[in-house]
Amino acid sequence: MTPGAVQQLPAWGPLAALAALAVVALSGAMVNDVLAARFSGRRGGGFAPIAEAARLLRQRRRSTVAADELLRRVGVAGLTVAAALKVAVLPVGAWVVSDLAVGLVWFNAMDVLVWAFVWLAGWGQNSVFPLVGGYRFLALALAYELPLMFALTAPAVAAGSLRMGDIVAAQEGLWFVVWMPVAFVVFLAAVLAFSLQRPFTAPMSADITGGVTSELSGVDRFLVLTGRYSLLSAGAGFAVALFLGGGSGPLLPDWLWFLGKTVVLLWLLVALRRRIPQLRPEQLMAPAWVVGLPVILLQVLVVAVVTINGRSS
Amino acid sequence: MGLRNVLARIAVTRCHVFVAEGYAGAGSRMAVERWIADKGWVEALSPGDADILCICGEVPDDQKDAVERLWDQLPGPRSRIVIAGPEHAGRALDGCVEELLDVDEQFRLEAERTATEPEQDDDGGSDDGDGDTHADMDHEGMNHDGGKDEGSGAAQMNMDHGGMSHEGVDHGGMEMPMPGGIGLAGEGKDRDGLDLDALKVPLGPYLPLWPAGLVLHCELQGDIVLAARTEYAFGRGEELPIGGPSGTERAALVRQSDLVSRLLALAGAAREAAKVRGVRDAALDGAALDECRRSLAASGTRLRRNWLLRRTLQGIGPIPQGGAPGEPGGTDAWDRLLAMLDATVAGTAGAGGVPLGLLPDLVRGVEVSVVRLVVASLDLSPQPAPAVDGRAR
Repeated sequence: MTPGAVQQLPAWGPLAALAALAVVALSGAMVNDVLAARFSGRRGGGFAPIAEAARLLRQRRRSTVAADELLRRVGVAGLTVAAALKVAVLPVGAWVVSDLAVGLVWFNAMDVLVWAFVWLAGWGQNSVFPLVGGYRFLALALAYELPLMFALTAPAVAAGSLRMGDIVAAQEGLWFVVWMPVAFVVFLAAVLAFSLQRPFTAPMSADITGGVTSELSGVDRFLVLTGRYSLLSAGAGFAVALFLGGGSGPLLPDWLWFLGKTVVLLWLLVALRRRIPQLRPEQLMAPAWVVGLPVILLQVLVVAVVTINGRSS
Repeated sequence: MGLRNVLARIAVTRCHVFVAEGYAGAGSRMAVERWIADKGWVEALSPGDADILCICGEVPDDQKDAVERLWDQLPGPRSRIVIAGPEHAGRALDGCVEELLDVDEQFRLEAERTATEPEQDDDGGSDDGDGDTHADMDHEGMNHDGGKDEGSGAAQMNMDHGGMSHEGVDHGGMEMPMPGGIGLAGEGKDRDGLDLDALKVPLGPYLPLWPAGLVLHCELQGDIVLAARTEYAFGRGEELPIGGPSGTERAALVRQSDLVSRLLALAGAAREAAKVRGVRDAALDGAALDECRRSLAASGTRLRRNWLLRRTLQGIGPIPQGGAPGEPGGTDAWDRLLAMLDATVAGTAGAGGVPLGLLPDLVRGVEVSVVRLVVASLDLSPQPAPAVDGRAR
């Protein structure tokens, strides 16, 4: 409705967005390792992601016999790319890299790309356990994708627009999380799922020796691990824009509010998912479709009725 | 060289260790696991993720080949070590760190490795796929007819791990009917009577969170086990007693909490697994047994409230009522987990192992993750008699 709600950044915008994504993702990884260290009675731990990166960067890259190199590389690099492309339409305060009129659909499309990337990474290695991991992700994705799509529908209906800037602007009076709590929770669960975090880690779990990641080393593994945290960070950012009022807040500039909310939400997600045990791959379908879908459809119905009443009055 | 050294220094603060447990290596394995946890290192899930190959206990001669193959899968920089007893773990791993830090030597070794492998590729003929001896050996288990070297084919945790191609080396066998010299999967009837590809995959013996020495030869259709057959890659003896007068009781507690933490880790309950493992380590250190039992009892209470975990384990690997004596009839993995914990708390642990013959029936027609949970829910480690010989022929 209002194309000028946010301002598109000039050419350095994408670089700034990438840098912000990298910093936020690194903070998530650091929090994770600090929590892990504290849990096992060690001090520190915040340095662990850097050590891991150094280790992987000096490690040799290996590949399996008769691997489909092209597909494997596409899949391995894809997770990070998908996260970066998602962030491109995310309004950070009043700034956005690309103010697409269908930003929300773009986000969803990038999310579906993750299906392909995880599966290609598993398939391309021509090895049993990565392939099993890839299939497991498809099973999970089939279960979480529909509830996620409907969860995205709720803010779009309320704002009457698919443009991310409009959705943020529509929350000026009241954050969407207040009257769409179900959509918010479903969205967060889906964020954990598309970033391969617990409880949705079956595609790379210990029982299949790391699944999709079991044959990856060096820079390939680095890209997959970075991709997971980037997707989680991008997901947290979208949760803030869609449900938590984006950059709105007193005193501080709106971009700072936005980043602050995103980082806090990301840390909460990181801490939360450490406490949840992993689901077996076949266990998600029934709860997601039998419980999740009807509940989120009800939520969308409520949102639609409220919105139409609000407009006509 | 400066940057290389800095990277190496940073990298060794977080080594990934692949632990391969050999014959009578449980004590060493626990010591290594402990060292890893204390240092903030990581237990690698696959050799492809490891910097250090750590062999705990003895590896019989017919398994040497398998260990070499694990070693081949470490991407490098890499280091390997054999741990002969729990007391050597710390010093041995420190030695590995020294090796990893020797940047020049590692660089030279890697260069050597990269240089020799293409030659091997060319040795056998013009087709790089077929001529690659590595590829042939490593994919042994995939040939439908079983292959000529079954013992070592079985020894691998995942035969696809093996052959490595490096940058510039293209195993471009795509156009050939047998890509990379690997035999294609055979066919078999699935659960619904449809013809599907059946792939032979041995699980074990060097698999993390797996009873040492056990090999489960699976025929997989997708991720469903069509049929399975068990074997022991090496004989097993009595565990070495730990501690002083209360040795056996303590050993039982250590073994049981080790089993419980393994099952929890596979079920994805990492926190609870770490807690139970902490109790195990405390018991190894000589903490009061009552204290340990209290902690385990607390874990049991927490687990009973964990409905997600219960959902994961309930109905897994049900053993029918009224089997042979000694079999935990009428139980599933969840019951067995709680029973293991309760028995340890009550100090009555140490019931005999489950007859291996049960396993193929329990895993037929289920998904790989379920297979892992079923195996972990049974005490398959203490097989006093060396079961089947490792080499089939």
